[in-house]
Amino acid sequence: MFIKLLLVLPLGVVLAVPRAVAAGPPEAADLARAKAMALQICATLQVRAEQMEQEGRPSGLLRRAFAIKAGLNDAETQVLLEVASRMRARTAPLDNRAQAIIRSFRQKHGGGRLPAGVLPPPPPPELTALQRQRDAILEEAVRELDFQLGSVGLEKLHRQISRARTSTTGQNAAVRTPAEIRPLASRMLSSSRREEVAR
Amino acid sequence: MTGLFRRTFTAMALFAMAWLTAGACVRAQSTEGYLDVFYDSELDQVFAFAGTYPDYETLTYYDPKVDVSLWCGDDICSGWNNTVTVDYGTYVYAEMSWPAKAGLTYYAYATHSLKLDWIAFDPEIYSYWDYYGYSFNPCPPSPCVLVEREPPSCWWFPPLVAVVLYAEIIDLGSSEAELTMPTVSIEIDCPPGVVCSGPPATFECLYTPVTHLAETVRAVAAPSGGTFHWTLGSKLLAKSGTTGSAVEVEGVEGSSAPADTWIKVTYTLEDGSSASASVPATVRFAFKLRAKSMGGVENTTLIYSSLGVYRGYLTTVYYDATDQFGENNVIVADGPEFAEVLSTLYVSEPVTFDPPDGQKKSTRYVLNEGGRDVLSVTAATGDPFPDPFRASREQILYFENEDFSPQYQDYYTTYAEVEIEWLHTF
Repeated sequence: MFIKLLLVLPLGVVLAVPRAVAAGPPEAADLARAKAMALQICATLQVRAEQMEQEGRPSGLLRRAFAIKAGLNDAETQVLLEVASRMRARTAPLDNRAQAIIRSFRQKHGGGRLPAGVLPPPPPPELTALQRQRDAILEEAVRELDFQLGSVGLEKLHRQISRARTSTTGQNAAVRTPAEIRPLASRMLSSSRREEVAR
Repeated sequence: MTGLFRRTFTAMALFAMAWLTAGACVRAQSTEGYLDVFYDSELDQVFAFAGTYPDYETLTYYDPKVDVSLWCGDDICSGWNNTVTVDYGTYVYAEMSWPAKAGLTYYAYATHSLKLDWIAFDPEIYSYWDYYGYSFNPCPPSPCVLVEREPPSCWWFPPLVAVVLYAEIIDLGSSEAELTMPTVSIEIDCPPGVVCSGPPATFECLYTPVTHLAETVRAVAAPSGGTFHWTLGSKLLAKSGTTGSAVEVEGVEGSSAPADTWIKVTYTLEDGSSASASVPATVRFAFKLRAKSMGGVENTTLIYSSLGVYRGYLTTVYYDATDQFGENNVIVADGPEFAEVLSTLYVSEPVTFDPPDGQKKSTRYVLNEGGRDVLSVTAATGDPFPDPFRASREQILYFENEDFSPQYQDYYTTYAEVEIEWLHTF
């Protein structure tokens, strides 16, 4: 029973800390995170464009898509793409390593199929360390971008990010928090049911 | 359904972030998503792309998913099954593209989700729990309704209850993006010196080696707020800036064939979507002048003094300019300079010519008339006009400073005439 209560506890924490994306200009931390996301998008588009070209398909302006939407000029675009490319070169080995760890971890634990009453194990500690490394690389890339892009380019990037975030308000929030994913009522119902069964 | 999409597809683009759970580590177990739609001017396609990016810890327990669809106005562009989805191991990416159409608004829609891969069955409450506390009930024993497009898996769980379990999908939410393709067209308003034909209109401008006649073309674009960029083919030069809604264009070399060059404008909105329009262009130049009449009595007005004394006459000769493409291609224009310089070769009696020898006289080549030349001769002050009278003058005609082969004017007592019907450039 104690273990089952532990399962419920994290949800209570989440409820207390709603994390819906807020409207309005992003704060510095959120802005940095959004810029890291922008770099990841650029890196993804680079990977995809390379893949298309290897398949003999024209990739068009796919690599520059984010820069085009942000209205960056050629020089600013070049900076964005180069920073993203360098970031990608540094994160790719970590991603490969993480994939291998996760694959091994899942195999070790029955592919995630657990016997009754057995909880999934906590994530491998080395993944946490890898994630920290990855986060640090992203933070460095964002600082590099801030340094190299120039004030005008950064303003365009921030405007694009702000415009994007502002649009994710209210019912149209793009991604919901756990509180939104599973309404409180249904969780209370589960909890009551649990207590009922326990009695 | 489409109305619902219209109402909800209002965002331009978005970042999506979700923290699947909170705890001691703020950044741990988070997933981010992104969707955007942009216009690829190289491929002339609208391109929607989306990604779902979990962190490593989330990835330990969940597989990320993303679906994207692209709507052309109220209709889905290419059906539901044409999305290209790529699993890059630590994140997933989906894309869809469709040919761009000016004036159409495209809506991209993506769903971001995580597929739970860690499950435990709690026989006490007949439910499954994942590591983070999400629970769900197993669907009833066979037959089981397929609720997701995921392949079912079968397990035996104590106390030996046969169940069919479907992977739980945690819906992180959806994202929307919108892109309106702009429209642009070129307007040629046939200002002086320009001959329009069409539609589609052809830009035509006149050129001489000495004088370039600049004309203005305009772009009409929607929605407003974008930027213009004009490009010109060979033989044309922008006399004004090329980033306004209008541009002043001049010919710097004559066309060797009709419509052998072009004018193009590209209109780009802030989000990178753009539209282009172009018109063919011809740089014409006056290659020949044709005397539409040779003068003579029927084109002459006699001049008398108030006392009825015959004083002289005015004989009018009209000229058409034809272009480099043939004697039938008359240049219809309003305003080019049409000028002459004369020198007297022979005169039987002293008289007054207008213009006098060596003095350039300019008029304008005008619509529906062409170039008008008046052969003017009058008696010296106070005298009657001599009878008989005979004179000969050499004339050089100029069209926008381009000179033509000499013309010879013959003057008689009551009229004058010209000798050559076709004059040509050198």
